[in-house]
Amino acid sequence: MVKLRVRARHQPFEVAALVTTPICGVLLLVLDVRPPSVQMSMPEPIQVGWEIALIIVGLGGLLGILWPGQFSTGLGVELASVLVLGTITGMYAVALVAVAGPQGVVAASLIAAVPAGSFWRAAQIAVDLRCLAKGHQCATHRRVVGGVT
Amino acid sequence: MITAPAPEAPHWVQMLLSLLGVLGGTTGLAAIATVVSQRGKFKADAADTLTEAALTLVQPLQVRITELEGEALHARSELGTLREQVNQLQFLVRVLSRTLDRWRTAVHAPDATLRKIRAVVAESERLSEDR
Repeated sequence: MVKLRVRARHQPFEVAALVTTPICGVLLLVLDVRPPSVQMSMPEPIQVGWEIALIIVGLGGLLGILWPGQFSTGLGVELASVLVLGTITGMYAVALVAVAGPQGVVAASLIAAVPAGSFWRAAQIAVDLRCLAKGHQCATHRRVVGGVT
Repeated sequence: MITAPAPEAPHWVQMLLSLLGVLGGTTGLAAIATVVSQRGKFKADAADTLTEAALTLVQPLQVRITELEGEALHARSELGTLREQVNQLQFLVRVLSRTLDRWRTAVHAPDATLRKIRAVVAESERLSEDR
């Protein structure tokens, strides 16, 4: 019953971002290119980590959403993924602003929406996990249990 | 996209982004580690929650059932006593109405005398004493 509630809350934007991120990472790796803003504003090891994180985050996030095992574990994997997704997209937004300045306003602000949404979703998941951990003390959870029974 | 002549962004940007990256990475790992290590707790607590919710629903019902069962038993035994009383009373009413009939016929008899009526009453008294 808890499953239904949180699953029903799935966010199209989150899933779309998680699907596109690994595609982007793989393309960067295969084509052996990097955005100039990233190249200029990050040290080499961080660049590599950033690129790999793109792939891991996307796959991990989708894995967390489709997690076949225990529900809270899936939520935890998803939580970690959206946290890291927020971090790496935030890094890219900062890099864009730092390198392109006012010219990158549109790109930077649109990209900044991804970390904002990611951290928002992370907060939601954290609340859900707290509900799962102390179920009966949580109003939303009690409402769900009450609604089903 | 940006082919600016500047080869590198300012140093503080690099520091900031490195810090951000390391921080985000560790936070993510910590989140995974926490949830995975607390797996059992989540499972137990979720089960506890369900059990507790079920219990809070079932317990009052159980109490109510016990109450109602006691009441039903009480009502049934009372019903038995009352039925017995009704039987006794019915029997008594039949006996009395028969006595009354007999007395009435004795009174209304054309040759009724006080002596005869007294005899009838005495006979019915004897009958009731016998019983």
